[in-house]
Amino acid sequence: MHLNTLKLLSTISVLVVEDDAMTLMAIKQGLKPYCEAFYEAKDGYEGLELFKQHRVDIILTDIHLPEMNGFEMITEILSLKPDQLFIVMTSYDTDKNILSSIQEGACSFLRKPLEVKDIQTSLLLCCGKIKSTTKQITPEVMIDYRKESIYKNNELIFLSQKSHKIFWLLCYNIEKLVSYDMFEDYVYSGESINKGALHTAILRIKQQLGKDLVIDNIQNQGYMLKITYRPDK
Amino acid sequence: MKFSLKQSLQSIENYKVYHIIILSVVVLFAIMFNGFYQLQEEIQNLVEKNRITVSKDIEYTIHTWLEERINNLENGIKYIAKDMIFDDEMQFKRFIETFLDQNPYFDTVQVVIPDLYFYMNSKKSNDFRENPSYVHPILKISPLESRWYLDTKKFLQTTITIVDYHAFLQGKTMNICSPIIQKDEFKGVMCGVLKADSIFQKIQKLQLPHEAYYFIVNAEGKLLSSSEGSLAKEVIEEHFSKIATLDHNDSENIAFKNHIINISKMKQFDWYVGIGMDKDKVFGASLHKIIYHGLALLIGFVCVAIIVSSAFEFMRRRVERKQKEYEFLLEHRSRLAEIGELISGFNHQLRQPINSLSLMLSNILQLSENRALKQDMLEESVQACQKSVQLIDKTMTIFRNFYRCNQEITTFDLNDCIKSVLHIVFTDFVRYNINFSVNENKDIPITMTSVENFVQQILLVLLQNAKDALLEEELKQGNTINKKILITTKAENGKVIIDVIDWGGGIDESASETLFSMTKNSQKRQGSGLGLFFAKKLAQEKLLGDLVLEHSNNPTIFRLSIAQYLTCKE
Repeated sequence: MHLNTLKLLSTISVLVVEDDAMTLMAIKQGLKPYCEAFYEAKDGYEGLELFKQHRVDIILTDIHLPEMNGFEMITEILSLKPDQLFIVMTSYDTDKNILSSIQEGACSFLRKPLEVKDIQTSLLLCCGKIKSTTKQITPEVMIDYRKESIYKNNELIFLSQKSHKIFWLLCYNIEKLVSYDMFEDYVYSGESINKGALHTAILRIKQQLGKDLVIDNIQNQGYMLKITYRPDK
Repeated sequence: MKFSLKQSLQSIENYKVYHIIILSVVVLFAIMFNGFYQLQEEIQNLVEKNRITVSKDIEYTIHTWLEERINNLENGIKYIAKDMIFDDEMQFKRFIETFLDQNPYFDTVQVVIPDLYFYMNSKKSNDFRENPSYVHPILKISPLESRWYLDTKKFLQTTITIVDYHAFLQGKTMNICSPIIQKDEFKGVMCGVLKADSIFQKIQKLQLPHEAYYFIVNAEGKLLSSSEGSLAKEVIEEHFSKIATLDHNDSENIAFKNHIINISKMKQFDWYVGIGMDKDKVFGASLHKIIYHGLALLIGFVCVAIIVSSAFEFMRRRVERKQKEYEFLLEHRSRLAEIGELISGFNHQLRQPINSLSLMLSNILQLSENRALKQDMLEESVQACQKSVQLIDKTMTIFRNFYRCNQEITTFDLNDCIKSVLHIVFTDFVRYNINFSVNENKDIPITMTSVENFVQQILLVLLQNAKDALLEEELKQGNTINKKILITTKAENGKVIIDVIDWGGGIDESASETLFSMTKNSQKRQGSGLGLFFAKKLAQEKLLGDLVLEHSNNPTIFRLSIAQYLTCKE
């Protein structure tokens, strides 16, 4: 594959979850030079943790993994970020595996033994499916999904680390309920949260991003980001 | 628990068989001895009855025999007395000749008319008118003083007298003498004379039962006649001199030494018939027969027993052979199943290194095409490729060793042995997210001398079995179970104990009884149920140990205990 083609990958970040060290190393060799970011995990748990810590465009995962298998991990991730893209690779191309992959919404299904080209091609194909990168959520605020960056009046602003994660979790689930559990899981690494502290953090975000931002508190359940702004066409 | 109970029951059964055999032999002998005893009694009774009959027979025979002769004689006398024939010598002589002519009853006749003459066998021996003091030239006795004459004259009735020597018949005779009475006046005596033997010859023709004998004694206890096997003459005469006291119709049993003797008096005269038998001889004879028949019966019984047992043995061997064939088939099947599982494991095991090799090589190719291949990256990749190739080689070696069926006894480390088995199943287990740990990941070195391959095969069966149980349970319960297999090892008292523990579905009571049986393949614990039978067999026969179900549920523990140091036994 020509270098120019591979340059298309330069804007995406990839998470590879593979238990075989040798395979992981080979995939790393074939992808890392071309991607914006490359994360590697040896099992489902590690993959999930890396997902929570970093912005990941595409997840490349094996099905058979120790501790937590590929599908279990994907299910967990999709519950946090319903639009997450992922590619499944496996040695066992059983019907059951393919069917599960389709149900979970995998972009692509790769059979082992793999070739670097195949992975690259699949990644490129998936790139096209990445959500439109920007979204105006209030008259003032625009977000860029790909870069996970926030613009207020076309100026890039930064939130504190926790606030950033809280905000983006809400953004992944626009018009959907983000439960306390999800906050707990994604933002606070599973530690039980102080609802008051979360409320304070959300109030701070609202303060920073302007009054138009609607984040509703749903009693005893969680929060929801609502978009009231409709740009004129 | 139940299994061991069943085993002990089995051994008791084996034990019992011998008891039953011994007991039945004892009973058989008891029955035989009882039969023998009863038979003896029966024979005794029979002989007793027979004896009485014979006694009567003899008496009757003698009675009728004598009766005939007495009648004959008395008829003759009546004729003489009536017509006074004895007065006319010529006529008398003619009568005697006629009387003797073709007379079947008497050998000869002698007549004494004391006033006239003494006739012997139609010949005049002496004329008392001419020579009143006649003395017999041989017997040196006057007929008028001989016993037969005196008795008859005295009793005036027919008498029977035994004469030791008869001059005319030249031997022992029996004189049946009747008085000649005319008008109530004693005129003389007429005797029919017989050889004494003739009556006894007649009696001797009688059939006597076995081992019985008779003898005839007179009132003085003098033996007149006896049959073979009788007591000695002296003994009889000595012991029966006193029996004259017996009443006419009485009979009496007398026991003498081992002899039982029945004495009865004859009706006509003072003779006594004794029928005796020797108990010992009777019993000896019957004992002989009974032993002979009993032995024949016993031999027959033994023959039948031998035939039956050999037929049974033959059947048993046939069944055994069939069973062996069946076992062989099953073993073959189980082996095939095992090979299938291994091949699939082998397949999976090779996928990973082949996959990484393929990736690595395609990487190098791509980098090279894009002229971005750096020296260090190339080296790194090629080294990684080598590692993969080595992994493939290692996998192949382990699998080959496993299925080379090396039966040699070697010294090896148990941990390495277990690791090899785990290597074989690793990919397969990872695939199903089954975790395993050996001794909670603590290293317990156990060196043992055994057949490594067999240990591995048994462990493989146990691991597959545990895996199947876990998967089955997972299907039932959903993804909530802890899919974990523990292996613990320890060495004690010269035994190595390896426990394979899982938290799968467990084994219910009914299945646990037949868990290790050959026929269990159909409702196996979802796994190599067949494998368990052969694994147990292998452990028992080749590794001097056993494979048991230590705990049936939560957790399920299979315990393999085998000799730590196996010496070459073959």
